[in-house]
Amino acid sequence: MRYFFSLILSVILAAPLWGQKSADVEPIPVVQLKRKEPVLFDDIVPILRNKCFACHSANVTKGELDLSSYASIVKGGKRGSAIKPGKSAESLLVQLAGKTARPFMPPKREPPLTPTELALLKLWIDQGARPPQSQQAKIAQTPLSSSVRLVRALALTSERTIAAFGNQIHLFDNKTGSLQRSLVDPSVVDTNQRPLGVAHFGLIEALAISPDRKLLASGSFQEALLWDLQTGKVLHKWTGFADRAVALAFSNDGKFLAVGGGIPTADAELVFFDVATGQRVKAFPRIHSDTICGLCFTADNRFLITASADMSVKILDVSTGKVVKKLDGHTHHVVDVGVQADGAIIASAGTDKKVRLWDFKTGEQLTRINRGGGQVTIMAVDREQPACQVRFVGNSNKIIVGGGSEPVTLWELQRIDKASNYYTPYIQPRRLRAFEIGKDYIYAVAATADGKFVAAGGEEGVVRLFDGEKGQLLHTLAPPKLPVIKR
Amino acid sequence: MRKRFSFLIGLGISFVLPLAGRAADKVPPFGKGSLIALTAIPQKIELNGVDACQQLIVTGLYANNGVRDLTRSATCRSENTAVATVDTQARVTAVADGATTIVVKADGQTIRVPVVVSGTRGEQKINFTNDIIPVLTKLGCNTGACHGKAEGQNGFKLSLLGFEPQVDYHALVRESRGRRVIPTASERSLLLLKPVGAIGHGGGKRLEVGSPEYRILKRWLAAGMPFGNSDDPKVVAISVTPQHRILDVKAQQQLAVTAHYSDGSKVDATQMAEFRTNDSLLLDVDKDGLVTTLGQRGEGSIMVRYQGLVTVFRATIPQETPALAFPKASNLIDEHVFAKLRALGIPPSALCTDGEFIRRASLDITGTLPTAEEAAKFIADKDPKKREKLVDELLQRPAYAAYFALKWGDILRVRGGTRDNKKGNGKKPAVDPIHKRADEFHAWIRKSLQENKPYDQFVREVLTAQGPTSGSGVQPQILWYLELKTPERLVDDTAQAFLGTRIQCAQCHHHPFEKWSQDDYWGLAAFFARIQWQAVGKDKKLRPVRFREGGRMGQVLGYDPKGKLEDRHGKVYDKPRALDGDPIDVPENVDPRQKLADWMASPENPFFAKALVNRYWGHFFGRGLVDPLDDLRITNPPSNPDLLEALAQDFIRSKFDLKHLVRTICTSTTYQLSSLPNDHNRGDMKHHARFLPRRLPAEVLLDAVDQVTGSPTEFTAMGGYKFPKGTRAIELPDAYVSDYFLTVFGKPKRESACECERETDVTLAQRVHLLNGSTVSRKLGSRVARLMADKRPEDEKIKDIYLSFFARYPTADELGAIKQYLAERSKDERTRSAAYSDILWALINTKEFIFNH
Repeated sequence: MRYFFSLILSVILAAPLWGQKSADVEPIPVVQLKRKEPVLFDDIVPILRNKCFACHSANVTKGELDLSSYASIVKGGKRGSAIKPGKSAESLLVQLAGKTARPFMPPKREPPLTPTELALLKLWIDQGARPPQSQQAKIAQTPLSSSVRLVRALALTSERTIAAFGNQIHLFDNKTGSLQRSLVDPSVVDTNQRPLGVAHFGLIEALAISPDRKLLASGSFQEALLWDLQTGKVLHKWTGFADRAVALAFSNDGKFLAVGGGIPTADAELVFFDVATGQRVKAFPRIHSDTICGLCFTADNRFLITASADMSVKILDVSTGKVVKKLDGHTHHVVDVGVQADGAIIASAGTDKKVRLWDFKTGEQLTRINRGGGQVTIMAVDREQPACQVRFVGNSNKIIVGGGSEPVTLWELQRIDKASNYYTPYIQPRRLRAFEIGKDYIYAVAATADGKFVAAGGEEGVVRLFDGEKGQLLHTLAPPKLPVIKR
Repeated sequence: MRKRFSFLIGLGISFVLPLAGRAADKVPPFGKGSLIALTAIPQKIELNGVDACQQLIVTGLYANNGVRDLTRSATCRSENTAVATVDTQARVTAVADGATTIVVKADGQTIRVPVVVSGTRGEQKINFTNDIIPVLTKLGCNTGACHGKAEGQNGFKLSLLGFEPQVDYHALVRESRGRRVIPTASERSLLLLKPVGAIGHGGGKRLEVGSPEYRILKRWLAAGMPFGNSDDPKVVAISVTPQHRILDVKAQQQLAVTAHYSDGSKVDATQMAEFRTNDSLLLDVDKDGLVTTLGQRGEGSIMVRYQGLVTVFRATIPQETPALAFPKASNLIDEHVFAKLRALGIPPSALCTDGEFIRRASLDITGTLPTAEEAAKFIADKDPKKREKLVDELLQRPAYAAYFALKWGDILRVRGGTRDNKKGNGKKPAVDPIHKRADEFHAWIRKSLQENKPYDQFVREVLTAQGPTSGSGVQPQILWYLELKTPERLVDDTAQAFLGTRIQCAQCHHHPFEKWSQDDYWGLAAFFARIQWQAVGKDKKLRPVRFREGGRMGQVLGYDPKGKLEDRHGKVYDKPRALDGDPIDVPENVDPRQKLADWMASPENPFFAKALVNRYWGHFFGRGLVDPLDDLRITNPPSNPDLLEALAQDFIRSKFDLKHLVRTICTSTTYQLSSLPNDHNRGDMKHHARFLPRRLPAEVLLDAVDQVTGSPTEFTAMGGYKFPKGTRAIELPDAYVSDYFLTVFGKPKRESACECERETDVTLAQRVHLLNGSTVSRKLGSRVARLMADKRPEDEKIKDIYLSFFARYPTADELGAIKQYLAERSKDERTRSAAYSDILWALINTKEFIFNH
């Protein structure tokens, strides 16, 4: 009898639940806010934090939507931007959270927005969706401390070494090691409008020399410059990058310059400029989900290979803008990439302490397969420390690798074709030479096309120029005495 | 008034020199009545550099000669905010070079604190280790749950709690070509964008834009991310002001932390230090160092950590009791315990009865219940010295050695192995079974205790064991090495068992709550660097076995005069170094382990004697003076530091005489206090105002059941071997015993050196097993049969039962109730026997029986 009653009771209790389940969800009522002061971004953040962040912030971004920053709200998710500034009725955020369009948000088990919260969101959007205060304010920049003279970028020709020391660029004669010229952008000034006598305001992150050796590109925080190496004049100044211009590459015909960068952990930035006119030709947004750190064109200029801190290397078809291959294998940021002249092998340098070698055609990592035991060995250049740069030496099958406090090394990628019964043909990296770097911490390496010169620079603020064939140190290139920056 | 002022000055000095000794006795009471004067620490402030700050501690002196913290309630005002500002928590921050005054007002009293600011112009000194690491630690970036864990977090890895600044500098500044730092646009650096939540951060928002932490990170970035010079001063000590205060409930106390640098300079570190309460029922502390006392009274501490250095603030929250009556102090223990109880206002309970005492002492010293005859005789004894005499007599019994061998068997991991009943087929195996070693080691421990071998000698013999593990000439102590095998595990156990220090953490990283670094750990490990496991080859010659394969039966523990140790980074440790000591050069012909034993036994050793007396204190009182009892560290202060020190010194003076220590403890008045609380000591759990009842350990309880029922248990080893009849539970040599009762009541498997492995709680399974389990019901028959055969009057028999169970006579009520129960069931033999059985069953299930009280 007891059971019978409880059964009936549970049926009665359950009934309203069924009813609710089948009924349509009511839109959240619209209320008018009596509010004089404008709605700021900071006013709506608490709403998003309480009701949306659980699924749409940081590492969890359902529907590819991240509501934790202004930029990512504007960017939106797979359905498009979350807001249309000025038009709350057309904004997905208001439609979904107001339960006027599906999928209703937050999902039904979670508490919905209150009418007041929804009204505040609407008002914010209708008032133009103000970005956060800090985004509006101009970024306060401070002059580079005179103690920072580290070398992050190098360019090398048979005649001269071009090196960036902190925010300066100096050219040295390879034979004598003497300073030839310094590149100065007169428009870089201090707070009193006095020229600083340097190439960039910020730290120089990248250098690239044009195929005809006449032009130099340099990248720094939110800007890139094109220099005429003969006159030392600035030909173009490109600005407006989201963050540092970390990677630069001239196309092999010298017509285009690719600039890569982007805010770390946000969307990557990749822009093409016409070298002759300085015009922005095209941009490839969202190729990577983190900063692009390395770029190189294939010999035929059809493809651009990109290395990113999102741990991947990608092959981009320049004409269509499509990613044709994604090379996965690095377990940490990929910071540089190079491609062999014949286009067969890609080498990429990673913070995971490896230079990985890839087959351009298949996009697979080069492996050695021991047929007998079925073992697969990935062929890579293993290092004690993170790799910072990898460059192919001219048209050869040699690569130069540098990074950290271990010596810069030259490797030959030997093709083992003699098909024995046990191994498939593979490429074996063979260490040819090491270049001693003292106590420096290396960020940049370069080699001339003929392999006669090798240069390396880093934290110490000097560039070591080596005889690439004998390995001996030719010159230690230091910047001229820096002008004292008054603050 | 004059007296008060001199007192104030004294107060000031003790603040200025916070590192100078403990001033426990001079701590003034909590301020009551009207406010008479104000004092501020420091009395004048010197600030050097941008953002330099100093926490002021404002203290009021009250009519009762007591003090009270007024830091938060006083109003502080800077006379020139262009030079320095002061906030609501009385933190003074430098703005620009110059001089000003902070005016502090409270309840009509005013004091003026002069401030001099210098060094805010020009190049600012900034050092990664001194200035940036503490920020990362304070923000929690480098905890084990975030970027501090071994594999890092989302590709960014810091050293755990910032103990490896070089590693952190590399990760922040260099990794992936400096992606996390932009010196010219510092606020756009990932290092700042992430923690303020400007871009997605898995760890959420940790930092406010413009906060002091933000500003220092920003300054460091703008300065070009310097690491600093190798000759920059380092933090060598930290101190907290005040160190000890007497507080009321619901009171506040602001703390100030000072970092002392190697160049002699001192800098306020309150802002960047971390605070953590050690007693969350008593004290709360916020990130700014404001301590709040909660509702409870007693004594507690706050741990302060900065740059790997730790110190504590102690708070005493006494209760107000009208008059405190104390029994006579018998020895040094009582002096210190009673002094502490007086300070806390907790009156002790009365002395326990003779019956309680003989039961308590017999159980604690011999692990054995007194018999009815012993109890009756002791209660009747008129000798005023009978308690002391009983302790002496108990210490002579073999059961003393047996019971303490059980304890040391746990600590020294006499684990043993399976044993069977097979006699073998006439062929003697080449290698002895491990249980043979366990039997020998157990016998050795027991004999050492019986002979009262000095403790230092006992430990030395364990530490320096060597030779074969099988065959002839085996040292019994070799089992310890067989169980532990590697230097790392030997260090862990040496530290925990003999030094009362848990140092395991420091094997891989700096100890998070102690000063121990990896160098300390491996320095200690190097004492074991020259031991070498060797195996007999086919040619009958000894050869070293491969690393990690040592420590097996049949091998020989040999000596390699050139032995060295390597940590996992390949760093070589060849010179042993004792904790807090200097590296020692040990000649090749001397076993470094002898030097280790020498160091331990030296009277100056701050760990060895304390660890042992604390362990024994825990045995007799159920809680160590330091709790857990093998976790002595600065941040886990003893409940009574003076007592621990005095007891340790007494133990050293007695030449490490264990029986002397037991005698001192058991003849103290403190040990003889009743377990019944009075109105004012009910809440006390750690100052020994009363005896804390505790459940009998598994073996003791089973022996007690066996004894009162007259039905001994026969023990079986795992593997089937039956131990000889008459073997008591406390006499079992190893942990390979299959007995459900012992398992349920928490006999440890001896898999660690920690006594905490032994279950001491009361669980449902235990209760159910005692109530309904077969162990008890099977045993009752024997005593019931004796009772049935006993022709004495019921009164006599019931008194006998009570004496044997509880070492006391039954009360009139108890006697009456039992007699009535029996009378109602005297119809025939069967009901009478069932009635006796019921009574015995009921008494076994009383708390009075299961607990030592």
